[in-house]
Amino acid sequence: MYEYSEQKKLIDITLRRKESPKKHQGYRVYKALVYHRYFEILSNAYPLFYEIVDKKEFENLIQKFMRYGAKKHLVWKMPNEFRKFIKINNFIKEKYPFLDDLLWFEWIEVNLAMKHYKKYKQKKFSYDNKYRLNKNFSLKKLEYKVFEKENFNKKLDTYLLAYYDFGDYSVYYREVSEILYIFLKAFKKSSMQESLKVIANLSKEHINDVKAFLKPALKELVRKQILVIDNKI
Amino acid sequence: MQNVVQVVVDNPKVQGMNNIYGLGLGLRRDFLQEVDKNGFLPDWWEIAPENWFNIPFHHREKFEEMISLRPVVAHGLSLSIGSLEPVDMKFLKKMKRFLDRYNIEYYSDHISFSSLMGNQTYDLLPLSMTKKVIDRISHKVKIVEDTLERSLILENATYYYVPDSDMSEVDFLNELMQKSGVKLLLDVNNIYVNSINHNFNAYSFIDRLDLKNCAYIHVAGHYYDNDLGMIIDSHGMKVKHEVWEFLKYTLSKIKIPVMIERDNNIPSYKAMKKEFDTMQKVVNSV
Repeated sequence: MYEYSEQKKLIDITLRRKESPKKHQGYRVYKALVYHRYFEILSNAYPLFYEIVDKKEFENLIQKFMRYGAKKHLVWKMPNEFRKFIKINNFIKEKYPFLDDLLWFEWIEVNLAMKHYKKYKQKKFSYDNKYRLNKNFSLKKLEYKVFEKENFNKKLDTYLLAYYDFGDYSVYYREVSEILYIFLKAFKKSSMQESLKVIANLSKEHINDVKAFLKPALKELVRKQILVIDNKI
Repeated sequence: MQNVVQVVVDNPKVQGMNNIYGLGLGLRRDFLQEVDKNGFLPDWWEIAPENWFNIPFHHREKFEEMISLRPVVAHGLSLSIGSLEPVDMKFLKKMKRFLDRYNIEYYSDHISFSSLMGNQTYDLLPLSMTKKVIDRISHKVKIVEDTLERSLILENATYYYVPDSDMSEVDFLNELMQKSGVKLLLDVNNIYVNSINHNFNAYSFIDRLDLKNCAYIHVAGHYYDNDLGMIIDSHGMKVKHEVWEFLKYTLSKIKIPVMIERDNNIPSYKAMKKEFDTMQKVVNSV
């Protein structure tokens, strides 16, 4: 058990930020190295947040997160744990009310870039084809305009589509209409036909009118390979 | 991919590194796109498997091309074999799927621990050097090898203090290799750094180390940290002259594959090639 207490002591010092014994300089080294590791990963994953946040506050947030303890083996997944930790605990929300939105905005870029995708042949959009949603996008209703650096604090409801572009292997963001947002949310759970019906019911329009209205947007989603032909059907 | 593994009927463990020869280099995402299959390639690659479990879409093709051109050693970061907890089987199975998928025969990690109670430090923390620890690691080595269906190679780590120990490091390593059957990934930079920080003779250490059980060698960079008052094994800069000299001495005792490990502050592939040339000169001079 002595060895367990030795390992626990080092974890307490490095992660729980407990005082390191003065007799060994080495404890201080590990404390610094582990903190530096967390700092490096998080400041690289959230460069916009790091730029605007008070550096002392950032340090405090990292230390709180370290005390809680990251659980993911894979380093690149750790920033998402940090994001969820901040969100659940509502840290520094008063000063940075847009924080949840901003951290999502930054994290989703990493997340979409790290996924594995199949390559699909693009075909012209047609309502006669059966489609499904690809994995290369994410949707979120934002309360703050975190995609405009000067307007982080500007409160407005907006719908953002983040997607991985197969043309230049980058993640892009695009504001979408509420209708397209609701349509895509519905499509995640059901078929295209059912999702069109959802919009028709909400807007009290005929389904053919909804189809005509959404067609340009759906054509674009096909070009971006967010909508792909479902071969399983 | 070219993995020519010698089958030893009465001992399923691989004897030595059958398809790894000469000089290697760590394949890093930072310079992956710069590597030209018709240009300079090392004799073999070392990769950090955890960094490739999820391959960014735009890197996958190039990564797979590169590792198909040269033999590969997977050098892990997260095994935490010294941790006082059971081996994480979920992690090991994931590792096996990765190694199988890319037909990677050799897997190494560190003699250290990096997590406890599921909490990750993302760093390599030191172990007590005792017979008890040897027993525990040896037991875990069997589990790892049985699960991965591969021999495990373990690297001697740097340590900035020595937790409660009753053996010298060299005795600890010799006994660990003997008892567990693992091969040693001999990091000569780590020995050099430890020798300065803990005031022992690195050359005598090599004289006493059971070199016949060493699989391959790492060289890496380090720096002196004024604030902390110690040499830090950073893997973030060029290999120092004194480590090249120490490598020469080591190679005069045993000829095994050598590679440069660079994990931080990663330069261009062109700059890595320059350092590789230095390594080549050092190795040729022995």
